[in-house]
Amino acid sequence: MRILCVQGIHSSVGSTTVVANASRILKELGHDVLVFDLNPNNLLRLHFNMDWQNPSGWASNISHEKPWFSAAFECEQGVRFIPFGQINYKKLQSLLINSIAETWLPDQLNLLNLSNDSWVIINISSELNELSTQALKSSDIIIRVIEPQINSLSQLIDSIQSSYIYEDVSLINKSFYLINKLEPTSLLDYDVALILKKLLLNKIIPVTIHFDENIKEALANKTTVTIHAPKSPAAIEFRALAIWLINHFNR
Amino acid sequence: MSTRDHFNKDTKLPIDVKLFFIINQSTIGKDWVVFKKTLLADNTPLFSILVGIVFFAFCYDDNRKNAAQIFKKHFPHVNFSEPTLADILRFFLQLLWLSTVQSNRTKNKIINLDFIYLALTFIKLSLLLPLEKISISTDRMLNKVEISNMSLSNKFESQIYLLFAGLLAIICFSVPFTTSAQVTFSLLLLFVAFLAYSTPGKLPRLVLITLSVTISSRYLWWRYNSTLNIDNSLDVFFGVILIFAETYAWIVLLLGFFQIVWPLERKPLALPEDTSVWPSVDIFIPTYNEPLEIVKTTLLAALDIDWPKNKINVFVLDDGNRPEFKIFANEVGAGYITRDNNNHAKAGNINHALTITQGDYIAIFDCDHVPVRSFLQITMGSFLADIKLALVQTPHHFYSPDPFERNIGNFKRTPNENNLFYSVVQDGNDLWNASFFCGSCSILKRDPLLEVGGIATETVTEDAHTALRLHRKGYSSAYLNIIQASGLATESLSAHVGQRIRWARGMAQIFRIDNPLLGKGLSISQRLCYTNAMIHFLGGIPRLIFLLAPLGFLLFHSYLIYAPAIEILLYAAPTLIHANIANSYIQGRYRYSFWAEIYETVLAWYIARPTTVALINPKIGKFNVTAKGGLIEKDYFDLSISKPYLTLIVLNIIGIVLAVYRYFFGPDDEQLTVILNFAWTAYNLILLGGAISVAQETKQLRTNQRIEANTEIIIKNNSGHLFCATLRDFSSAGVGLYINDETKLEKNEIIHILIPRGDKEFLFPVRITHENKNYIGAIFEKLTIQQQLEFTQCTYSRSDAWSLWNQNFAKDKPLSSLISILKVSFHGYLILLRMLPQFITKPFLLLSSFISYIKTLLPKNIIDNTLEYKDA
Repeated sequence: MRILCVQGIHSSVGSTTVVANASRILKELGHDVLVFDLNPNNLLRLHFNMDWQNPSGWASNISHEKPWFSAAFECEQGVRFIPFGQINYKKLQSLLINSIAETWLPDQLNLLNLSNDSWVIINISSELNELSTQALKSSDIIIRVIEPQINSLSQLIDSIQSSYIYEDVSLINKSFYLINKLEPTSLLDYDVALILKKLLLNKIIPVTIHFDENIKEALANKTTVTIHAPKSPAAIEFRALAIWLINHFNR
Repeated sequence: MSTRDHFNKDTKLPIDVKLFFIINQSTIGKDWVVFKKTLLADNTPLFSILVGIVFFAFCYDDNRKNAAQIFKKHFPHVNFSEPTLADILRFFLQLLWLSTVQSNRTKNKIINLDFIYLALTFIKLSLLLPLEKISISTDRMLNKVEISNMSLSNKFESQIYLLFAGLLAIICFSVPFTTSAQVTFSLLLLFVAFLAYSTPGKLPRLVLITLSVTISSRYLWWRYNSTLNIDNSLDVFFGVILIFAETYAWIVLLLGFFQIVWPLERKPLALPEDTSVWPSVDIFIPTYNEPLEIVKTTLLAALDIDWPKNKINVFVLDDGNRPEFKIFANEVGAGYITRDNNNHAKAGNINHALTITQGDYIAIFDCDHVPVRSFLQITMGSFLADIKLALVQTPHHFYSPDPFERNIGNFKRTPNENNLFYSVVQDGNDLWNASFFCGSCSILKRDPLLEVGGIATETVTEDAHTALRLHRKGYSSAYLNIIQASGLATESLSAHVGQRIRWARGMAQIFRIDNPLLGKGLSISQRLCYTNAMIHFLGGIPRLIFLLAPLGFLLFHSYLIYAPAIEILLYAAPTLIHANIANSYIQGRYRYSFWAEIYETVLAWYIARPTTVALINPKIGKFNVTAKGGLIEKDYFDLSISKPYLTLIVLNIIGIVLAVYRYFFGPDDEQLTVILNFAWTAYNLILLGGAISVAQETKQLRTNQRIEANTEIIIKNNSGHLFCATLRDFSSAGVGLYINDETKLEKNEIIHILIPRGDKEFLFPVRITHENKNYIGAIFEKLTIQQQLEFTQCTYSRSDAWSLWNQNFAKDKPLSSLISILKVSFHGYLILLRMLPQFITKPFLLLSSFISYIKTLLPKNIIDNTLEYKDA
């Protein structure tokens, strides 16, 4: 089981998009993929053409006292995914306090009894909570998504200084950074991207995803850019990301 | 439009497709649509649709799907959409051909040629494999020895060897043979030569050179001793002229072998880590009358050269004193130097700048030679390793076709004229510490340069002369065969000839006023290399002699070579064959066989006079600037430049006529001599036809030559969509792109292209000027200076921009090279034919168009053997 955890350095950097696209490509390349949405905003499902109205997901199942895994879906392309589910704030709080034990996530993943070469991709929120910390700890590799923007840069420096993720050395070793939403017409973006590359050196994934109208359109069509515009640069870049991931595990 | 659209309920179905639906055969209907789409054009008349349906109906179910492909493949010359009567004939002839001749050939082989082929390969390999082993082990052994130091380390011993070898050689050259002995000798040597030709390595190279030297020296010995008829004054007159030309050719052959016997293939040396010890460099870009557009790119690229910023200064040396150059130079941060006179042209220009700047080293680029970023990184290491080094030269590379390439149309398919010099000769010179300065793409050390009085001003080839003086002072030079700059080739044949006249005159001047064979300071090998470089340009008169020699017999009935024809053949043929084999082996990928003859023939007449004049009085003659980057608006034939060739052609044709006459009406014992002279004249005519072909100027429409490229880029259009594209060609004015997607772009739309370089990407706005399917052409939309600089960095001055250009050429194949020469020559004569008055040409043209029409009717060979005839 290869566990990949994707986290945005702050909200709206596009981590959910990265999860959706990476999983689609890995599936396309013949891998067995399970996507687990641990982000309460419950957006991942939209990339997989799930009904707007459908509120089901693992969290809502638990709060309705149903087994959580009954909320598993499979998209047309064969990627299996578990949405978070629609759940209000109060229920979320009680869920986090009452139902999520300290080793909940690793236990559940073990229960699934997946084969060795299948991928589990976990989408977590940028804020730390019980779920995201468990995901970070139990994953084999963490992709932290950054935007080449000043706020991302500031957040990155903050997170280094406050040892947010760096308390645990194992977390440092397995986290890698992906630059997303590089706007080609912005000189500032390129400058910030350059600073990020200088700052992070070999921790940066050698693929940069450009900001592309196609990605927005893909979500509007409730799919990923790899299907919406398979020849677009973004789709090709996500493909390169997937190849990088596979190589990372083969190394 | 995909086929599915045809079956959309809303779209209108064509009548023929409807037909299939009516008879309830929608699958066949779909196949039919595919069939029609591949084979027939959109607006096909009803008649051919009917014919198509008939064909289609004959197809079996299982291959109905790709029936159209099969038809298209096996009847490539038949027009199915608008068939004429001839097309019907073509169809049936092809059908007949496919079902009889070609099917036999592919299916039932009468003789199994594979066996013979295998046997031959076995024999060849059993001969060659041991040779290859020997060659490899000698290479290994020789690599340990420093060839250039060998003679120095043990002078006495080596002199003994030399003496011994010399004696042996003289015996070899001078022993007279009987005819049969000569035949055996030639055949044996040829056999060895063929074996060596097929074996790679340095030993076979030496073997081939030795064989060629032996055979050609024997030939000349024989010529001097037994072929001059002193009794007949006419024979002596012509004979001495011919033997002079032959002696010249022999000397050039020998010196040429000496020059390139062992190319050094020097590698760049690393610079020290500490950049504070790196010396300071001035970059000079001399210009006189070239437009700013051309100089701009060079200047921007020069500013981008990778070197500590406080140690590099770029200067434009403007001899034209033009204000816009000054403004541009200031804008981009380059120095601008001008002077109040134009004395001594480029040399004077550089010498003047030397008095103003202070850099330790001077890099010089002609204003159209765009340097790549790594230029100094690659070249400067050698200087730091050797304090006596005063010059590093890199190749001149051209991204535009030279007049030969453009007019013959073999750009990037056949190595160009330049290739031999920069890939073999300079590397060969380098072994003897005799590689010389070529005026551009090179670095000179300031102190030695000042010591010899700056760039030499006495001759019109200041570069070679300066290098000669540096060598005389005991300084050394280096040649690095890595393309580090790229420029424009001369734009027309007349400009090319003009440039070569200047080189030839300059070299003759140096030969006269500062002869490398005389004077102090040079080693013997340097003297020989320089001498060859110079007398090489004196080849005009000998070449003319060869072009006219057979006329001596055919016209005046003079025996230039006073010997029986069979003996001439036995001596001359091996000489020519061995020289060609050796040169083909050595020059291989850099100059194809026989092309040198064309190049020399074109120049012969033009360099004959100026070199002779320069030898008599070196002071006459002026410097002319080589024009570059111009337009040739329409095809035209340069009549004035080809007049001498036309005269020679007329003379040679007279020779051919006389040869035919003499063969039939002359004495019987002369027939073989006539045939020999006929063959010689025919060969001369082939060369002259080639020269004519070059004089037909093909149009060149762009001032900014587009350069082929193959870089993945990204396009961003106005709606914010990105898509992938390939940069196919570029110039400083615009780009050609190939869109990998179906995305449509409109003409005049302004888009952004994103070109990667290293870690970064650079964005440039362009306006689409034309689009054709997936290809679009676009020009830049008001680039800022910064963007122009960035574009230069992404394209022209990328370190690896030119590294693959010369790798594409295959090894020389003498026979196919001869065939291509024949084609070029034939083309030349066609050009001439078209210029004759109509009443002469009309029958010829009619005949040729009739022949080409008949050719279209003939069946074609289909390469693929997996034929299925059942559908036909």
